Order: sequence, then structure tokens, then C-alpha cells
Amino acid sequence: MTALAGESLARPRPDSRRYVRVAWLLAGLGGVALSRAAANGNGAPSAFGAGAAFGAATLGLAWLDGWRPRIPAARGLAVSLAVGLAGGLVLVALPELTGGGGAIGLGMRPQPFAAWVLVTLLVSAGEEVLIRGALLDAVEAAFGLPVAIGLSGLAFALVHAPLYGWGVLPLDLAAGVWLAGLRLTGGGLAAPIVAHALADLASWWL
Amino acid sequence: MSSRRRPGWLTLGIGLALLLVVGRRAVGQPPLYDGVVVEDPYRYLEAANGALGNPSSGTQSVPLDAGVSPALLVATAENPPQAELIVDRASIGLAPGTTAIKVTIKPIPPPTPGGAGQSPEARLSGNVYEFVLVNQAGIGLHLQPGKTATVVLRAPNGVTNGVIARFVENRWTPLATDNGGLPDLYSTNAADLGIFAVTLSGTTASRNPVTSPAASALATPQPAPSEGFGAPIWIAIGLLAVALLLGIWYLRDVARGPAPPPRR
Repeated sequence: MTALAGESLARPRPDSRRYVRVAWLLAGLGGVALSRAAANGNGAPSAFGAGAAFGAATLGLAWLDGWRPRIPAARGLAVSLAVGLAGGLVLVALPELTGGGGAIGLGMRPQPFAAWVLVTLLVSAGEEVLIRGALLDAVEAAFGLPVAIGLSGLAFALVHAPLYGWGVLPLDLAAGVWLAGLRLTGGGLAAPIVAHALADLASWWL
Repeated sequence: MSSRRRPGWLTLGIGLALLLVVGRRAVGQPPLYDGVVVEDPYRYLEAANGALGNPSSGTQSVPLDAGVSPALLVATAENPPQAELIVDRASIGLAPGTTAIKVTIKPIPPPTPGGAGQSPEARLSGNVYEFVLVNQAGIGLHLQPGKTATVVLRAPNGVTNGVIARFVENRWTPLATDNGGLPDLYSTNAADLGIFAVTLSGTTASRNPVTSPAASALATPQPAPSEGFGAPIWIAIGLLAVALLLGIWYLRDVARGPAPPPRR
């Protein structure tokens, strides 16, 4: 949970630096996402390894960009956790509420469960720290907040396409905008990390 | 930070609206299910060249739910299932005396298309599956008018240009198909059940040898190696190289000193 507090990552930079920062973060994100898809394979061991490496790589990119984990004040953390839990419940419950039909049983429950939980948490935290943290701040510094929300949401959707197919783009784009809203209202990365992790973990039972 | 709360609420509103709109046609898939993706190699009914055989069937018998057909979710045993059926409650027309509904999904040999109009480009990818609904006495049942069932089929690993087709009146009829969950996972809302398969669309069909001419009576799916998502490794290496160069440039530039405040 030390990743929860990654706060404003944008530091003053000349204009050219801002664009280069956006470009290198996008290139790095795309590179690690495609590398994960290439390394995933069909078995659990390679999938665990690819997922863990992807999570670590996203955290590493954010680290290079200047993100450092820190623990926020108790009150701020409580608000962020509450916002994140509520946001995650919306993501989990929405398919039922919208009447989209029964969930497709993907049947992906690789054992051991504990390893799956750890890798899932690592991946969701890494994506949030890099996309809703570093990338959103970098794009905001270069182009403003509306573009940052849109571009970070698009990047989030595209990151999932190599593994899950192009069909996930609309839903993950919408989820990306939702998670950006949680970041802004929750006061930090704790809210989107909690919401994202909750939605991912719930998939074991969906 | 409070200055970001107002745009934050607006963003949440837009995000929720998008989720509601998109979620309605998303066949109920959870928006995020990231973590560990494990997809077993495809199992062929008629395996050749070292491919795996013995695809499973799926069957389920369920009693009526307060006098109407129950919600059904039946799938084959592969991981993820190669064939799956989702039916909402009260969607099946009941024959007199029906007390329970039995669903069967099983792989079958490809039927022989006949007659004119069969597109020579139509190719099957993977197994042909038969979806059957009967009551406890074995009497065939059908969906009620205006109701649909969601048929989900997984194509062989790496097949990303699939379209679900139903075998009707001796020919394969393509259906409106959604792709989601996995690159090779397809779903369609069918007004009736019967025989379904994934067919390949577009001119890239020859990319994957897991095909069989739909017009051939001897159609036998041929195995193919698992390909993943179109071999993205070279693109990945290129992007990582670009990121490395830009990152070095950026970090060296940052090390030189402070800069003006960000644009608002």
C-alpha cells in the first residue's frame, strides 16, 4: 500500500521536456505491454512471470519518471480508500446493473491462488502508478487536464488489447476515464489502485 | 488538491456515463480482469500434426424456475471454455409437461454445406459445436420469439479475425459477432440454437492454417502453433528502444536544472 500515495508527479520543466516526457512514458508503456503479451504464453508459469514482470516494469518506469511511494496522512488515506472501494464496487456491479447479460466464463483461475492475488495486485498497482500517476501528470503538464484524462484512458485501454483483444477497448476506455476521476476526487493514487485491484480480484468469482 | 476535485467529479460523471453505455453491449464481461492470463492450447475434434485432441462437451440439467426456464450458463471444460452458452431466465419456450431443461454442447464433425451461394472464402477455424436444448423427456425446445441466447466460441489460439456463423439450411450464415475477453474469444446473440462455428473473415484467413474450407465435405481443422497476438515482439523491442532513448534524453535534460511551471 506504499504505492497509494504517489501524488503530483509533475515538476516544472521546459516545454520540450514535457513532450519528451509524455513520449517516453507512452513508448515505455507500449513496449512493456507488448513484451508481456509476447512472453505470456499458454501456461500458468509463463503467465505468472509475464504478469509479474509487467507490474514491476510499470513501477520501474514510474520510478524513473520521479514517482516515489509515500504514506499519506491517515485522514487523506481513509478518504482515498473509501473513494476507491466505492469506485471498485461500481466497476464490479455495473455489468449486472446494466443488464448486459451473464458474464462470459473465462475460466482463468491459475493456481496457486495466493500467487494470482499477488501478481494481480502488482499489475493493477503498476498500471495505476504509471498511467493514472506518471502519465496523467505528464500529459496534464504538457497539454492540460482534459487531454490528460482522455489520453491516459486511451493508453489504459490499448495496454489491455494485446492480451484481451480489441473488443475490450470501449469498456476499458470508459473504465480508464472512471479511474482518472477517482484519482482526481480521491486526492491521490490510492483510490484508483483500490478500485482497480478490487475489480480485478473480483474476476476470480465472476 | 481541492482545485482538482471539481474536474474530478465531472470526470467521474463522464466515466460513469461511458460505462453505462458501453456496459450494455459488453455481454456482461467485467471491465477489468487483469492479472494472469492463462489460455490452454486449443483441442481439436479431429487433431492432426501433433495438435491436442479430445475436446470436451458440456451438459447441464436444470429444473424450471417458478414455472419458467431458468437462467443457464453451460460451458465446455477447457480453460477458457471452447464453447459456452448463456441464456437469460424465461427465455426458452416450454413444451407441455416440461419440468426441467437439459442443455448439451458438443463438438461435431463439420457438416457439409450444399447448394449455391456458399462463399469460397468462408473457412472454419477450430471445431464445429452443436448446442441443443431439450426437456426432461428429450423433446426439443427453442428460444421464445424476441429472445436471444449468447453463444461464446473460442477459436484456436491466435485467431483474431473470427466471425461466428450458424449452419442453417445447408450453409454457414455469419452472425453479428463481438470479440472480447481474449483476442480469440467471440460471442454472438443468437435467436435460435443449433450448429455454430468460428469462421475466418477478411483476406488474412490464410495467415493461420487452422482452417478448413466450409464447402468441403472432408473439412478437418489442421493444427497451428500458438501465435499470441500477432507476434508483437519486434514492435515491443522497437518501442522499448525508443523509450530508452527518449528516457535517457529526458532524464539528462531533467538533471540540468529547474524549468518553468507546467501549463494549466
